[in-house]
Amino acid sequence: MEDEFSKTQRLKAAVHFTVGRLCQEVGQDCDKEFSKQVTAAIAETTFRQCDNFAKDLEAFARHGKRTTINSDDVKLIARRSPALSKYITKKCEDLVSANQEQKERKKQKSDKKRSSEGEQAEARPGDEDDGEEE
Amino acid sequence: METVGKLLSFFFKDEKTKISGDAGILMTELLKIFVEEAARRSVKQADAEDCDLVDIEHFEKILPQLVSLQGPFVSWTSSNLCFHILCVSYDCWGREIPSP
Repeated sequence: MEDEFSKTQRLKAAVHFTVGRLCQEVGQDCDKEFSKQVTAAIAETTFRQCDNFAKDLEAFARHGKRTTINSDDVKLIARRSPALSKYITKKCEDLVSANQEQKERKKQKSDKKRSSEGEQAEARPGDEDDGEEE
Repeated sequence: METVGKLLSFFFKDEKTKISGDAGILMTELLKIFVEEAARRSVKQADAEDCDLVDIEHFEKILPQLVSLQGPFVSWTSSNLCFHILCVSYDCWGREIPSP
């Protein structure tokens, strides 16, 4: 299928681009240069590893009777290496706390809006309908 | 991050499978670590052979451990970049630390 093939090519190109960028950063950090072949090889390996990760993630989600992959599935992927597992768990906790902060901020905003609308409604009883539409 | 989502979805067997936002962020991080790990191990290999250019042969030598079925045996700290490659570890100056 030509569509499948071009999709694969596009994805591989995207991976190659990011891998190239990361290799450049590592190279600058370690004062070494990466040959084009190595960058291509790392990109290809990453692409294939994604295949393994994706199939594992899908299997974990299915095992949990879900169709959506969540962070617990990702933590399972990282279980074999203790340091990696710790890092991923910490990142996950950071994300959860960031999400909570966002929710609280949104709640505060909507509370403020509601209270200010309420005040407006009290000041102008004739315009209540407009206030509700907003 | 979007690319990672599309990349993983490409390999899903079931079209109903989706990936949550948080999981996507974590997978992006995981893949970034994977690439960095591959790059840094190749650099260490090139260092061991006294080469300034990291070539394909260096990558080929570290590849089996990187993708071994036992999983990546990586223990690293971002602060001092100490690598554990199975039973061999290097300190941040690239010297081998004798394992107990």
